[in-house]
Amino acid sequence: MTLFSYQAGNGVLHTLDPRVKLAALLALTITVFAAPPATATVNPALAGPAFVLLLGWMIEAASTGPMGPVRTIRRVVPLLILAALIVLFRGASGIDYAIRFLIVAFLGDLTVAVTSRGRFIDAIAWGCSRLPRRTRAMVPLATAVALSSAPMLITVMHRAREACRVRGIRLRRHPRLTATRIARAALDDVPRQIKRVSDAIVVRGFSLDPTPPAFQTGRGDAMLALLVMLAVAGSVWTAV
Amino acid sequence: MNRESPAGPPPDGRRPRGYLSCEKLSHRFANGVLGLCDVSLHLPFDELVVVTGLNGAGKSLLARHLVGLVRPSSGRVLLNGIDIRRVEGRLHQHVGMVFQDAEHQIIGQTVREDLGFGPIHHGMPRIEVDARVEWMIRHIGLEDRADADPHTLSGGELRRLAVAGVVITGAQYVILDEPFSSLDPSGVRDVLDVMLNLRGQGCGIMVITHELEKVLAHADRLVILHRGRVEEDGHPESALEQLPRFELRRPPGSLEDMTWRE
Ligand SMILES: Nc1ncnc2c1ncn2[C@@H]1O[C@H](COP(=O)(O)OP(=O)(O)O)[C@@H](O)[C@H]1O
Ligand SMILES: [Mg+2]
Repeated sequence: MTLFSYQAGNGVLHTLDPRVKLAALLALTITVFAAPPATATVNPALAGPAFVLLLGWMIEAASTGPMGPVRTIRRVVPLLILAALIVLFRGASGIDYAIRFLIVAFLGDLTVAVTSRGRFIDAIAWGCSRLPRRTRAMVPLATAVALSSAPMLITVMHRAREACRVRGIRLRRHPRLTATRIARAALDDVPRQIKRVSDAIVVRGFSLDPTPPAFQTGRGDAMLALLVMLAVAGSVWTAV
Repeated sequence: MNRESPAGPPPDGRRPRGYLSCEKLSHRFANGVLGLCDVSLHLPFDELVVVTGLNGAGKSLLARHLVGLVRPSSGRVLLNGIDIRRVEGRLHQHVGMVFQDAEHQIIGQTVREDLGFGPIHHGMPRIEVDARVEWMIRHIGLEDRADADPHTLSGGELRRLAVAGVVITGAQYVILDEPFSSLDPSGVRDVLDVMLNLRGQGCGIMVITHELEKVLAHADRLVILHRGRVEEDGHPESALEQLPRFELRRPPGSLEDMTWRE
């Protein structure tokens, strides 16, 4: 599952201020979840933007990322499965939840796809800049460790699967065994991965007083902020 | 960049050559195994020292001690005569290390971002960080991979990036753990070039390797580590002859030929 991975590039969305992007994501997430529930039919105020967002996300991901449209769509499959599960467990009202979930997931994925880990951490560091010295340094550090450990775990799972394969354990024939092995390998590796990342960070010269991040907020950011405000206002208005 | 030693200049005003040293360093693992035993070494910042030994001799463990990643059971590590536990943050401005698995020390999601990590944490202004990063990208020949995910680089490129990420902070001493492992001849040459360049700029280097034929010609000293003890520490010419005593192979030929640099 390579969902939520950064796609390096120099597109419009890439160059936006990470703080604005994160704030937009937060505002839209709250709006989507706070919107009144649909009763008989799907809430059009949600379904419309959802469709537009889905389309926009697809186009952006397919055009900025190195993967083609087919692989981009394949990345969505796990999300669709989750959405289907929500519907399964919650019945008719689940459709409404599932749609909200998908919108937020797409927004999150889009944000991640165009914001590098470093910029994320910059935004968090900025948010913490008024906290006491230790906290100010530790929160971004913890985020960095967590964020860089996650992709490694996926690699570990992948390797464990390959290791099973080359040793002749048939994935199809022993799905339970294989799944356990892979999960164990990944879990056993969590502390080691975290240790490795933190060792690297220490050796590479981590300090409590790094250079504060630099941001260049421009017209694009103002546009995004305006769009988000309009979306929030529109949703509040339809609700009332 | 602060190139002064934490101890400050000596009274006669000459610029000091820094050094790293350890005194009777021992490391006992939780299971009682002795990983290092009474290791004492003096490592001036203008020498290229090659450390060799069998697998499991404790070479990587020694390196981890020298950069303060592990606490010794007894003994201490000193930077310019001061216990490294007391210089903490400053240690990594002076002493850098490239891990045996270089990919484990890559932090950034792109080459550019990774190179910036050290300088940013040394409090360098962003403009200077950017300038330095751009210079370094050209220096290690990764111009067209500057925005690539480091994990998509080839083995040699990754190793060069790892070394660059350490030296970009202006470290005066760099420890390289098995820098040639799983590299093809051109990868080895690349790493050697970067290494000898550094040496030319007055940087001290410790190379941990058992591939002596690739680098020993450039060494000032050869240290043989055996079962956690320093068994030999001297001029490569004489130390070479001791290798068979520790089940190590002496590379054929003369010392001057032990380089893969063209
Ligand atoms: N957590 C541990 N517990 C016990 N022994 C260990 C542990 N970690 C490493 N060792 C042992 O320490 C010795 C030194 O390892 P290392 O420094 O990696 O050797 P190398 O010289 O190959 O780099 C090895 O013999 C290894 O088995
Ligand atoms: Mg080792």
